[in-house]
Amino acid sequence: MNTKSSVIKNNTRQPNLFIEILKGFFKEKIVCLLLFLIFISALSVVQVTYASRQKLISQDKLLQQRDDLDLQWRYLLVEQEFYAQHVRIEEIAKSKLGMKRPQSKDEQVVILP
Amino acid sequence: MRNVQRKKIKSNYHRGRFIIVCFCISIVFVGLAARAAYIQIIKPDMAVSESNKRTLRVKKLHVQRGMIFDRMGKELAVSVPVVSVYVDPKRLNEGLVKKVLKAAKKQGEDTKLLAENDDLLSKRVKAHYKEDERWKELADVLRVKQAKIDYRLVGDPTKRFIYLQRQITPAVAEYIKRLKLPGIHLIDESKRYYPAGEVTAHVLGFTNIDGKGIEGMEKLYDNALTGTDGRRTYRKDAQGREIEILDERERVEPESIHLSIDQRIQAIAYKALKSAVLSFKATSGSAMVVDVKTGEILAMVNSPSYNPNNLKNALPHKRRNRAITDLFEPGSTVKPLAILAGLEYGSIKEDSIINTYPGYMRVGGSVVKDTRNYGKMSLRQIIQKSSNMGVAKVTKEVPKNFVVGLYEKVGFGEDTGTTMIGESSGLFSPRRRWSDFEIATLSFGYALAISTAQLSRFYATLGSGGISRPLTILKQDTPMYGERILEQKNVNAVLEMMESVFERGGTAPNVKLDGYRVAAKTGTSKKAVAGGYGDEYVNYFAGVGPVSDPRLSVVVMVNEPGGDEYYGATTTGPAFTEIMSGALRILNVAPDLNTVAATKVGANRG
Repeated sequence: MNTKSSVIKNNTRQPNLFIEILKGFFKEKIVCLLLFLIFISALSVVQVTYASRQKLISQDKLLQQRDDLDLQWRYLLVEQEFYAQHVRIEEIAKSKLGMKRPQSKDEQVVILP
Repeated sequence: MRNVQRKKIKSNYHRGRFIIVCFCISIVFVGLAARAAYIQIIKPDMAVSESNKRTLRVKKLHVQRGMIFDRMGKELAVSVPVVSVYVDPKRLNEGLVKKVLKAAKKQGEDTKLLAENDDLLSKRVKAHYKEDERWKELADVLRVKQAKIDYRLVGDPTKRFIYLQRQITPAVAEYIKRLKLPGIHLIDESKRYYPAGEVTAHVLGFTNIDGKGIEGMEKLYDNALTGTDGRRTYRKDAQGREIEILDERERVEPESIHLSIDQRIQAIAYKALKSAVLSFKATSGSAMVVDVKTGEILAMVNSPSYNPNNLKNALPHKRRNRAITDLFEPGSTVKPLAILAGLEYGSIKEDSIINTYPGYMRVGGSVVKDTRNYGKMSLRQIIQKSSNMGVAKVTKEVPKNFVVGLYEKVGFGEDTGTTMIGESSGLFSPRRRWSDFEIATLSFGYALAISTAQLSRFYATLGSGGISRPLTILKQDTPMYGERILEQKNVNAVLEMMESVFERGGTAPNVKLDGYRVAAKTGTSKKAVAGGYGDEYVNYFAGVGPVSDPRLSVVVMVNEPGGDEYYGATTTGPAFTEIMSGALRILNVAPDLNTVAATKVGANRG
């Protein structure tokens, strides 16, 4: 049993694979840094692409909204023009509001100095 | 124990098997890699095109036609987006067949047999079409008769494109979209609305159903009013959102046109002219209002008119912009020009007296006569009574070339400069030989034919004190370039004479203008027919006002009044006063008749 346990103890001196790998990495500091940077840049590419897509989607939505509002505006314009027709206004002014065109005797000209 | 175990493990290991397994697995991976390489590198087109089919889209960026405004920025022509519906009968038929076969499969029938049996299949398709309520809804919402729409939809399944309805509102289009019918497609278009309708119809013209200008301003400025559609190629994601723009061609926005027309004056002019044409049962009429200081046309109206929003009743004779196309002999309205010819040449003075006794004279074999013998007349009386003898005698003392040259200078025989479609330059050829009688007739407005626009230009020249400007229909920042062709002093004298027309004994004593001094001239000319002059008349009323500082020239023309009245003053007078006083009030021109009370603000009141 004794010999056995010593063997096992010897085994613990076997290098830990994970630690060895890490050590290996830190030996090549520049490569390690570059690797790290690659990771960062890869992730940021993903991030930026995602962000740009979101922006594009919102831009598209806004453009669509602009076109929709333009459409609505044009219809409202036509409606407004219908209600603002000269003949219609005159008719309302005369019949409903009892207005009339001023005669010269109703007029008072104000001459500014 | 351990030895036994090790032995056992060792006994499981077969070198041959291991190699085979390794080989197989590597074959699988190599195969996958090779396939991937084949698809991606050697023949990538297929993969690319499949991907594009799913994600690549092209969108048309529709651009509306430019708007037309009046001088105050009021919209006269607006394009609104509308949608047209068309059917692709072939696709529709395919869609129906697919549905029928699907239904048959559910019933457990042999679909292959059914697909080959054309008669049965078409019968089933028809039944299926009839059962589907959505087609009835489509007919209802488009307001088309069911039979008519059936014919278009399933009448001939080899056709590929039939319009079901053009220019429906986006709301109806949305409803049709939600019906999700096979083979029914929508396209974006735009429709032109003219809010002012028949009032501005002739000036603006109209577009055809494809949005191309074919009359009036719409045609003249078609290029400026038409923009260019844009195109965007983009990738979409699974939810149909745009995620990447691959290519974009920006749309080119069209220009807007600002007309010199003042819609308020235009409306007054149209109303006045329409009532004149209707109440005197005239064939047609035109009226124009011109700003004498700038040469801008403030109103140009014709009657009969048409509704440009619905061209069903727009017969060709209603569509013509008569103010610039129709030519008539202007009659007495050019008499002021004959007097001016004398004043300019110097053969007469402002206070000259002309003897018209005995009321007629023989010129070159023909007779010039007045309705009665007026005897000795001042120039003012000649204008007031509209004496043919008077003006004929005045022009008799002036060389022919001078008279004809003056008529040419004021713009008779050339277009007025509006460059509008269909504008006529009148019938007047100054270069030919003129006989004595022709010069005499020229002095009272025969032997030449001009449009209402040309007459307006002449009166605008009078209004501006002798400066002739080309007319324009577009809003100007600076006045049109003008050329002095008449002496200010002579023009002022003639304008004073023309005020007498409204006085007792004038040709328009019953026409009263409220608040403003106006110089005007009536005109009643017989219409020429083949071989002489007929029974029809053309009535004119042309004038400038206010006389103290002229601002507007107004011309009203009524063609062939049908009632008992055929004198210029009666038929066109009321319309003239309404247009003149209405327009001057709208432009806020101070009244210059002393009937209006005036108060000075800030000055010492004495």
